[in-house]
Amino acid sequence: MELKIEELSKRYPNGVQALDRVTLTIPCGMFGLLGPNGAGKSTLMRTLATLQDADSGTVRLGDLDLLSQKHETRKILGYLPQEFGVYPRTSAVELLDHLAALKGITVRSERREVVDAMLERVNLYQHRRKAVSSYSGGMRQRFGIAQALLGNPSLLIVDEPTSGLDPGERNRFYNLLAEVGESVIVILSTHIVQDIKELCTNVAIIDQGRLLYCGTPDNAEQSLSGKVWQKSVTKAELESIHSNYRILSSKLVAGRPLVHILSETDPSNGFVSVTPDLEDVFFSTIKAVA
Amino acid sequence: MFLEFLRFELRYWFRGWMVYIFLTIMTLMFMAAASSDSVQVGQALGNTHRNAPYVIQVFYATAGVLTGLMVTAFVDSAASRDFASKSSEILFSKPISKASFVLGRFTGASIAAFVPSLGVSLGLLIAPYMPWVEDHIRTGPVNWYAHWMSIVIFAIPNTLLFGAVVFALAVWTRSTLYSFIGTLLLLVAYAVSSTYLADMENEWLGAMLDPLGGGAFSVITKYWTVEEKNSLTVGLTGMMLSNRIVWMVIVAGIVGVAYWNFSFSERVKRGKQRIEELPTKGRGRMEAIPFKVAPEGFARSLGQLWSLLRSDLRGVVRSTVFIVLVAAAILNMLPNVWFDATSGYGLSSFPVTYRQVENIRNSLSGFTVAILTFFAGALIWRDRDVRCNEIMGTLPYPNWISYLSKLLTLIAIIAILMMVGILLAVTSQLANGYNRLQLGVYVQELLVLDLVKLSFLSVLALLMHTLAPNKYIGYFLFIIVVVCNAFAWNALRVDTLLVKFGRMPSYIYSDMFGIAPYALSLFWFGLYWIAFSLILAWLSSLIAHRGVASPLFSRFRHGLRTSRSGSIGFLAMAMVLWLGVGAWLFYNTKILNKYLGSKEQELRQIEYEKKYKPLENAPQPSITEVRYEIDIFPETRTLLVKGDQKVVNKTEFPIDKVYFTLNPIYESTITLEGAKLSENDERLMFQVYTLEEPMLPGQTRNMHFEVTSINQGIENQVSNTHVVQNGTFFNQEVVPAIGYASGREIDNPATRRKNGLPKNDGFPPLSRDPKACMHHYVGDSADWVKVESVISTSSDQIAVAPGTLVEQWEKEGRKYFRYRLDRPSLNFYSFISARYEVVRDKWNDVDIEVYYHPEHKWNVPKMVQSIRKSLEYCSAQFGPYQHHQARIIEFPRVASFAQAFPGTMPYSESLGFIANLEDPEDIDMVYYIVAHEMAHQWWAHQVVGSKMQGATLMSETMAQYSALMIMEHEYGREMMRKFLRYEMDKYLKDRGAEQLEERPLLTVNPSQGYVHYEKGSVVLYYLKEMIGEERLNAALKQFVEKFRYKEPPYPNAYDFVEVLKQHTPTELHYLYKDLFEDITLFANRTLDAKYEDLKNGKYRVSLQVEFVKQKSDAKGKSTDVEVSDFIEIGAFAKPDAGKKYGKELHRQRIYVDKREGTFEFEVDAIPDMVGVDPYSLLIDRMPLDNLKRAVPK
Repeated sequence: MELKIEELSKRYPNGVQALDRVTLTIPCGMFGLLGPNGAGKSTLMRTLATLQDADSGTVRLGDLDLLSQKHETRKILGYLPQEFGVYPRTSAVELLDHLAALKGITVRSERREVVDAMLERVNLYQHRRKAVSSYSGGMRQRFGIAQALLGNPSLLIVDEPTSGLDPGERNRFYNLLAEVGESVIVILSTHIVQDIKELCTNVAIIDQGRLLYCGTPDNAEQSLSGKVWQKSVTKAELESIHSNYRILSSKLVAGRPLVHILSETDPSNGFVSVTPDLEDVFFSTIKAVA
Repeated sequence: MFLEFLRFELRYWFRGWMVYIFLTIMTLMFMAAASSDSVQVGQALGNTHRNAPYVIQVFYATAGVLTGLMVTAFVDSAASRDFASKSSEILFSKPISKASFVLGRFTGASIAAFVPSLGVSLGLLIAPYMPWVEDHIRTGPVNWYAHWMSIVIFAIPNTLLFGAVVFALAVWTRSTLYSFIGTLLLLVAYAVSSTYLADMENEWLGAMLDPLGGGAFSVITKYWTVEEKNSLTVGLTGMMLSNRIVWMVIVAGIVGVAYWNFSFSERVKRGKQRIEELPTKGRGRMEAIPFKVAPEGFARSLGQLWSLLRSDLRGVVRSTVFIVLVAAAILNMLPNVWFDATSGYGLSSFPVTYRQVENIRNSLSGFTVAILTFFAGALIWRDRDVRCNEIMGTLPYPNWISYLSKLLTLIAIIAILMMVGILLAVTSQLANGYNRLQLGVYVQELLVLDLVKLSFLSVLALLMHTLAPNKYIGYFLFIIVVVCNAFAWNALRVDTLLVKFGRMPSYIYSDMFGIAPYALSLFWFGLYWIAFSLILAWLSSLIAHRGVASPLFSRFRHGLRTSRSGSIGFLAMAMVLWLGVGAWLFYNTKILNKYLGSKEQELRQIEYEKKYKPLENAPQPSITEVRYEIDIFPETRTLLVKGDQKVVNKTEFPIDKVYFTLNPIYESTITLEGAKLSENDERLMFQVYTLEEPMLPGQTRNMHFEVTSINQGIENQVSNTHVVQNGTFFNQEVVPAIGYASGREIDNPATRRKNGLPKNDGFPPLSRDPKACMHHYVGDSADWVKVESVISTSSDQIAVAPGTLVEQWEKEGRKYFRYRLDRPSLNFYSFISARYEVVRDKWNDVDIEVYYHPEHKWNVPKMVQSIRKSLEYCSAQFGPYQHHQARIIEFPRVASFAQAFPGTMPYSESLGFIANLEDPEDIDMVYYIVAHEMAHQWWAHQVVGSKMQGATLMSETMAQYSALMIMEHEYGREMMRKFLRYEMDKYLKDRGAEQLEERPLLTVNPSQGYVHYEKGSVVLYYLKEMIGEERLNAALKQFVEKFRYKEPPYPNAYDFVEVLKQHTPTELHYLYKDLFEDITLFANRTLDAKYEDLKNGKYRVSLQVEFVKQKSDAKGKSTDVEVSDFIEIGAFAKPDAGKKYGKELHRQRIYVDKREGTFEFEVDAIPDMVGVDPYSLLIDRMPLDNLKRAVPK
């Protein structure tokens, strides 16, 4: 089963083109959606999650037309929004039970089992009677994934799930995702390159509403093979490098700027060739647009 | 530094918009109230200037409630702003002083909150210039002093009071919510104090308890006349001053506590600890848990609905707003369902269920609408407010389920509130020893009818929020629509309920018929609005907010595009149902039945008067004999009345045209011997018959009429509430009246002025001219008539017509009765039919009968006893009773009066039948009303005044006097003291609301009940004290004998007073001028009272008294006059425990001709209260200062 997105466009009333004829095929497994803030990732995910209408284009999953058959889509959907709140004075068990009922698990005993198992799975079982609104960020995010996983969705959409999590929590969170990612379509959006590399078999890079790259992270890296060079420079040198080379990135390593540039030929001048990583791909694609 | 904070606070508010918005709202509201009679603040103004000082002060006193709400907004914000905006940490780390911060903030916010109150003055000042004000004679000069005093007495202290409470709560709890509760509590205190005010005995307490000062104001001004309302201003003196001092001391205390309590430091939040994250212990349970996702269908939907409903309900019920509102609703309900309302004379009723239903309804009405308004918004925006809308939006439940859940939640919370009300009401019934609970009535009235109506409102509220792009616009839209729906239709003169959203025909519940006459209308209109609500519900779920905010149009388009066949089918069904029921109702209410709106009715009244008033004095024949054939069909509410009557030309002129005014809710046909219909005004229900041969003086003609009321189909408003399933009650007014009917004229002077009608002076002026005395005032068309009736009804009911039951039979499953009046009487009688229980008794040869609803048996024995005593007293004093029966007949509460017809007294179920007479200290209302109506058998039915001013002196006043005497003989003088206090109170109060001119008793108009009833009681009782009961009754007997059943000319008030004078010693003749010809008031008081123990068992009392006698003009302007009166002085002993009055020790009548006097007398026991006019026999506006507690010398 593949999710086929064709020519999907969305323009907001304020003139922002959030999606610009995006065509994309998403296979089973973990799929990463990479792009800077404001690239249109959330618009795409909300559109897939039936929360928002597109202006044109189609999205199909087998026979299912996601854009018009919203109700059918919701039956197979698990969604974790970028941020969410919960009803005050409501415990995790109460809330999850409510959501399970809404997902159609009508037999009460079954629902209770499923909810308990899910809470155990996300390691919230001990705190199940506490109000979700009193949870810490990580716990709340785990609660989020628990509700998304309820009812074994075949399409799981998680929007920027790791923002605000500490490294340990992030790992735990990824483990959970990886478990389910084997058999269903998981779409994960992020602006953190590291996340994609660790988890995703496929990745798409979008910026300003346009799809810039789609494929495996390895292929992406290979496409830049031999073209990425790096050099540790002084702050004074940065200016001249800026005007002379196509800079991909410049970050501080031990207080000195480490510059990655893109060049078909050896720029010499102290630059050494490095194996391209996804981050270089990310910057090279979005800089091509800019 | 204080000034710095004050300046900052003032700048903050006066640069914002809130002050100006509130000021504008207040100005507009009070401008509307001061320029139009349809907007009323406080009591009706009658003839008072629209900008009279009294009006200014009432407006300011009433504005206190609004002030409270506004002050809450300002002061709460000032007190908690820094905590709410988290700027406290920055601000409080600066070196500022607590005093200047707290007081600066409080003062600044209070000043800002005070400014909108000035809208009252602004509104009053601009009102006269509004284009719609036509009645400029009711605008007086601007009274700046009254504006100023009102600001000092009401606006400033009330602002400070609310401000202090809110400020204290806000700095203490740092929560807006509790400030809001504080305001509510003050408003509840205000409501409770007003229940004390209603009872004369507790008036003073009520005046002090009222935090807004309005209570004290109303006690001070309750006897103010129109003239006084136009010229006087209450200042800071007396009771007003005490009230304000009490509450300002409280304010100072509260501010002090708030100051002491205020702390700059952050408060540690209790109860909210962080949850400790437990160490991860590996992976959780991973094995697949088997579960089944239910397929689309009923079970799945039900499961989802149940879960949503639980979640929504829990959300509402756990919210603080709900808890606060419910608590406030209960507080507001308690005094009502507990004390019940007093029904006059400080007396209480049994807490019958329909009354308790009304108590619950009245005290909840504001709350249910507030709760519904608030929570409709809260529910629609709930997911978005807590930001879980994205999660909820992706869950596979259809929109209609979440819609239904929200609707059911709203209905459920209102039902909960109603049930709490029912529980309180039932508890109160049981606690009062009242065991007739009628739970079915509670359920039908509150949980079915009211709840259905509120569900319509809920549907509307949910739709408005769904249409709106955010919560605030949603609230705004809903309020606009509700207000328009409530007021716009009347303004547009649209009367059909088919367009007034959610409105159903009004109805009155009666223990006798339930809601039977209205049931059909209620059902069909209910169904109509249910169908319409289904359509709105469909629309609301079609365009539900789901997922990310999107504009209405795209929600609508998407909704339509993705609608399934089931949804379209539902809409189609709802549409068909709505249109079908609508068409059916249209046919029924517009084609089968006609409905005239109140405006149209008024127009017709005006037209009728303008067109036919010239015929008022045209010679017309009189009825001398009527034979009725009446068939009542209670099940179908059908009435057929046939009559044969003889009419005689008793005038000196030939009559060639006979005019008839027909009853608009009946179909009438008339045949008059030798005449044919020459003019038929169907619009104004007026017919002219032209006689072929004029009727010469003394000639008689036969006349036949048929009047029917056929209840067909459904009406917009049930028009005929006289003919009902159980408790049919109508009088001779259903049949065509001969001539112009002046009773149809409009009374309201303002409406008359507006429509160019001349001033209505009531009856023609009092005159001694016999030619002016040719008609009596009870119906024009007859002098004395012979009446015989055959009346039939269903077999389970008893029908009663005037006179003796001659014959009774059954035919074709119906009961027939033949009644005959024992002697010609007034053409004024009623016909009644219901399922009655009857209690019979006999007094000499008179049958005493009480026909009552079997469940209302409590006071029946008392009624029988009162009839008996009345017969005894009146026949001994005034002459023989003229009928063979005296009946009391209960009728449903579609009207609430008792009335005297010949030998028959219909008595409303809401009046004496449910009075609670268990307390022996209470005035026996039942006994009194029965005695009054019985006395009418002499005073009106034997002697009737001619149709001119003063006529009711010989009927109503004399019925009052007789009732007083009958009661005094039964219950003693002390009960009369209490009774007369209420009578005096009501007289003095009501004369201040007079619409035209107060008249003395001699020329009283029949619309001036407060003169002929209340003043009449006081005056006649006083006269009796002065000349003695025996002498007075001898005079009355002579008068009755002279005029009993006499043909015209009829007696007038001069005749009456002259007979009385003949029996009065000459030195007391001045009384007749004071009591009957003038409006005389006293302001006597005892200045000083002392006693000296003479050691021989005697005590010498000396007292100093001031006598003030005043005469008032028609507007209530009083001027002092020379005293030259016989006035009593006296002394009482200390009352025994539990008694109100002590034993009389001394009573003496003295002649007074000076303003002051000192008196001495000896008594046999220690005197307690001594003074002038000890029994308050004179009309005195301050009866309490007549007596003074005597102190030993």
